[in-house]
Amino acid sequence: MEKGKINVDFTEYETNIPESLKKLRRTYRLNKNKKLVKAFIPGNIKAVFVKEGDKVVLGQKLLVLEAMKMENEILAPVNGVVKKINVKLEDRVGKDQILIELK
Amino acid sequence: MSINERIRSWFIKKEKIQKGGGEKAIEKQYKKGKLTARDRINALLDKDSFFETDLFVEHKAKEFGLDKKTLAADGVITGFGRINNHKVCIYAQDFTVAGGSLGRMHALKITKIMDMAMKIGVPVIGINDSGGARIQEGVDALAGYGDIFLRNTKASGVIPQISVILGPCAGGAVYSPALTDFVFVVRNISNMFITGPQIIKSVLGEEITKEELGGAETHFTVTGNAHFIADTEHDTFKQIRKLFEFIPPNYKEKPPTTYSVEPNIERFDITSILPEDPKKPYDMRDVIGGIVDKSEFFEVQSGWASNIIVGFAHLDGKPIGIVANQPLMLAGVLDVDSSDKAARFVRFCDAFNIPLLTLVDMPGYLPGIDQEYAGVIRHGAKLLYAFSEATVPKLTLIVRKAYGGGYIAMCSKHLGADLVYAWPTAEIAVMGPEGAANIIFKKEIENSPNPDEMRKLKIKEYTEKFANPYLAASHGYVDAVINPEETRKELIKGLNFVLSNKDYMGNKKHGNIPL
Repeated sequence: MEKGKINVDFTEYETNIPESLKKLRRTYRLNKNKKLVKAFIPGNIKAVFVKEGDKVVLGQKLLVLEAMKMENEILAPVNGVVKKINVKLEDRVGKDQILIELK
Repeated sequence: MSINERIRSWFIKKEKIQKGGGEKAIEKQYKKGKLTARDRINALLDKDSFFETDLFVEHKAKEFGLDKKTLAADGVITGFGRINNHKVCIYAQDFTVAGGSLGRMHALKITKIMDMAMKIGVPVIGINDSGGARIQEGVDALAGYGDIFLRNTKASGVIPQISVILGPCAGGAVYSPALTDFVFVVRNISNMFITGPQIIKSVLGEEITKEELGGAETHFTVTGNAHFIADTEHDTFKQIRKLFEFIPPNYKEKPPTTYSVEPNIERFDITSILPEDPKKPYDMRDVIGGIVDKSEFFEVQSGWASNIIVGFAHLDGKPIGIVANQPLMLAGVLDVDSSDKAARFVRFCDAFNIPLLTLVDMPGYLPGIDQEYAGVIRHGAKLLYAFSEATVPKLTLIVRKAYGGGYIAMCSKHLGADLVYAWPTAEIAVMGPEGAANIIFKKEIENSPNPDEMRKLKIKEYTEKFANPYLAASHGYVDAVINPEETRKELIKGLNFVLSNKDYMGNKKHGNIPL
């Protein structure tokens, strides 16, 4: 907890801000960049179907992320070209880790 | 067998079972800094008041060699007794017997004592200290948990239910405490989680200690699952005994009353509590202390969502539930967690005939993407629902800011408050003067040769006209604007008048509170 200000309806109020709120705010940052393909859950990479430089279309299978005993297919969120692949087979990835960058 | 022999054999059997898991296991329990199940019951209940039931119950499991084993009292002590002379039913899981694991008969003992509590109309206290389901009993152990959850739900709103976590409580087992009214935890002893640290590590590769994941502090400050925290088991028992000063034995009875005692302050001076600048914070607990008997406030969930305060106190010797915004934290705004916290407390008070006093000072809802995504609409609705649904006497005091949707939510006249009081410092408006002036006088401000001056002027105009209690009072939304120094006197007058409130929700199966 630390001293701070919060703004409600254009008015700033002096008060204390709990640490938990700041953490929460960080986790809710908007993912506006659809060209970054992230892990929505922690898990293991079970297959990679594309290589750098490949052209991909919306909905195309990029890789398989195994988590909670379930194989999740990760699909291309937009049409584009694979700029960079940050993972390889059997890699363990954390939540929100960037797996593939498109351009 | 002669009669004397029979009596001797009874005594030997009883002695053996009462030793639980035996001396070694008991010693181990003490080494962990924990009391035994029997110690706990004796420490919590009034002296010599405990009556034990089902001491001779045994499990009937046949698999995995369990048929060759007996488990003392099947790992749980059940019975009834008194707390401050109030009747209670109680059970305590015995960790020294097979890790307090829950099997079919263990669960049957618990459901029997819960049924008794409902039939007699007395609170039930569950002391949890168990490794979880007795794996050898398989699906029968699950059936046992299910039977307990069903009782917890049927007893909800009928008798107060209290859970004390004095050891591990993991997996499905956590849902019984979660269904009850109050959860007590002790630092370095209590642990609650659905999936433990080992599974989290093997599945997700994330390392976390069990204290961080589901220790007392975590549940008290992060998850909101625990209502009270203590450093020792004895301290937690003291808190439970204190709680009994405020709660009735069941939903048909009124909570216990006591003598009226003046607050511990010489004179209630609001100028020493409230800052002159309405944008500056103060501690709402100082206002509560100036109003209630002995200035004594028994706060619930003080470590979580502390932008709202909930808890019990006495007013003129009668137990009341207090819900109050806390300007010291996040300016007292309503948000996801504080709405949940207050709504749940309001519903407890309503279920058990405890009048509500709401103290209002908040500028509105917490703005943010996180809040919107977390469903502040759905969560905020709970508080509206809970106050609207409550038929207990409802008093509201508007201390300072009551803006916008938050004004409505904080037990306004519109949601059925019996009496709404306001101090002359109250500001009841659709939003704060800055925001309102920016919107209403947007054109005038933009078109002015000196916009900043114009804005200041308009804010001042708005403040003088609207940032007060009189407009709301002129429409009948505030029943009385009172002298802050006479707050206690006026609240007591009001409480004693509306105490005989015969409000009734009408006949239906149950409402559908947004969850």
